Amino acid sequence: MKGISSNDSLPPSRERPPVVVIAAAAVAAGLFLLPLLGLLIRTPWTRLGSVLTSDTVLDALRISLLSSVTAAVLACILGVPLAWMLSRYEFRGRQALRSIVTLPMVLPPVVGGVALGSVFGRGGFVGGPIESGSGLLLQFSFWGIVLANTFVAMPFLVITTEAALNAVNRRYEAAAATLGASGPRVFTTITIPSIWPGLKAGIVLAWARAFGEFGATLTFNGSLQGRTQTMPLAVFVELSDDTDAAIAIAIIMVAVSLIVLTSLRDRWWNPS
Amino acid sequence: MTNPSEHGLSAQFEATIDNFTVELALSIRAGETIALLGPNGSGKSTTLSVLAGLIRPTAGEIRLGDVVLNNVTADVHVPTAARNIGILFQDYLLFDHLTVRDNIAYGPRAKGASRSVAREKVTTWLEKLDLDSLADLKPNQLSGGQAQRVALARALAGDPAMLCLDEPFAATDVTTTVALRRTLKAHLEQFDQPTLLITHDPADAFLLADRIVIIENGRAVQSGTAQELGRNPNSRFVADMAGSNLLSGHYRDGAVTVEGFDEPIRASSELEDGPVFVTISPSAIALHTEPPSGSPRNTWETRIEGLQPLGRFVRVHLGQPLPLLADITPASVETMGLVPQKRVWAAVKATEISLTAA
Repeated sequence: MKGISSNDSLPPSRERPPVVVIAAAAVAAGLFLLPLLGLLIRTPWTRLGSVLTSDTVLDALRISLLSSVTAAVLACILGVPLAWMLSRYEFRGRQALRSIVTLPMVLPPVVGGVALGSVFGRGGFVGGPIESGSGLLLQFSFWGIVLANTFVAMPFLVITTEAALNAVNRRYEAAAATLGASGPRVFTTITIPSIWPGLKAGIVLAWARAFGEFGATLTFNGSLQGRTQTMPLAVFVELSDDTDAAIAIAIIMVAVSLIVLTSLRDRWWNPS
Repeated sequence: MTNPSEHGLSAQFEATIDNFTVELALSIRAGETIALLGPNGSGKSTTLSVLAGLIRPTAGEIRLGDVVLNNVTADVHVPTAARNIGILFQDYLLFDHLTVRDNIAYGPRAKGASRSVAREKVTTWLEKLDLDSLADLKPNQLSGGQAQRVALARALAGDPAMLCLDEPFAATDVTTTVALRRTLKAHLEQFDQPTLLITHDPADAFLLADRIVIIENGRAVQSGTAQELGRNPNSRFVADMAGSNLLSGHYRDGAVTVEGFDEPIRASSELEDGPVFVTISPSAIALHTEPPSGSPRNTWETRIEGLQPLGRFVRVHLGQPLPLLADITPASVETMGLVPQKRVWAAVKATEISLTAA
């Protein structure tokens, strides 16, 4: 039974929405669709093959895919414990920590890149000692991209995971503990399955954010083809050089994003 | 009382949650079932949380067998996972993402049993609780009664050193309750460790427990067998909580035959013929000094064995052939001149007699 007297939500209406709503929604949908259409119209279909197989694009694609996946994994490994702390423990500065976590979401990525440089760059108070000790410089390297990507992407994962953790009925965890399950066992066998939909959404969002990252990566790592030039950076560089190539690369990014999102959609976004 | 070093639970603790303090002493022998009977908010769930190790007591000691689970002065607090107390939760808390089989295997696996040992235990418990055909279903495909049987199997499959039943019939309908109570009773009889039954329903306590502890405002007010509590309540609260008359008999054609009582007791019920429990509220029994005439009620002659004033009413203990309790106003006691050994006629309307299938 659906109705206002029960706890069920009302079903979607079959009536026509108000004209104002239709108009605004149409403009909004157009805002998403038209740029995509524009890209497709201007795509140099005949040159697409040669652009795709050029060293610039292959290098950028490899660097982008590797760095964004690595960043998503890293965001997961570091972000889930952080979300766990924010959700489950009462401590001084919890609210402040939560604000700091969300800071990269509102901070202009360029500022993030400058900030990362001042810490992990040459002469930075973390990057300097690392470089003099091991000879490894994060800045201007693949790991620099991963660092910048993780910096901008992790907040998405932490926020969705914390929300999912807050929604878990902790009595199930208690029930598992009464059956003899240790803390880590409860976490892996009960908590993770319960938060899986939220965690999955967080991982996808974090990956998508990392894949599209531009400002922080450019500022922190520069744009060296074959070393630090990711797909978005390649688009930007080609734009002043060869517009057709830039659009071809952009189309590839759209395709990769769509393939990833739709292939995960059925398995991940729809609860069985 | 038992020696605390023997197997069983001996708990004496104080715990505070949300400014509400529970102060309780409980001792349950191995194989014995104790009911903790009280209304909502009397401290029953706090007690369960303390035993499960989810809340730390502020004072006292809890021992289970040879193991000290809590000792506040020695700062001992065994974590939940190491307590080995199986709990049947009132809303079952079955793991929705696991099959019935994996739910039952969870305890043995968590306690370190190998896959093959766990599989054996699962097979045993599936069979014991008649769950074979449901083994590969998920909890959301089960009926309430089936879910409870799975929950019981899951609680017992890990060989707990103690079992707690938290309001076991709170979430089941009447017909399921009858069947489940029978199942539960059979398994409690086989279970050789202490069992704590937490309930607000006197019928559960009477039917499943060996002894009853009545809890009010976080304190045990009286304990004893159902009969002791009914016969000798130390307060109105206990009298109300444990005052019901319970008989077992056989129902047939609108009447119940009770052992030791020749006349069938008329009762209105839609039950099928078969064994039943008869409950009669003490306030539903009327007493007369002469045989009541022309009454459609169940009447019988008996003697008064004792009188116990309980404030607004006097609890009258009736003798053979039906040793029941009747609550009468002090005014009636005086008018009728009721004293021990006096001969009286007891009467109960058929509609005041409630039956449940046994």
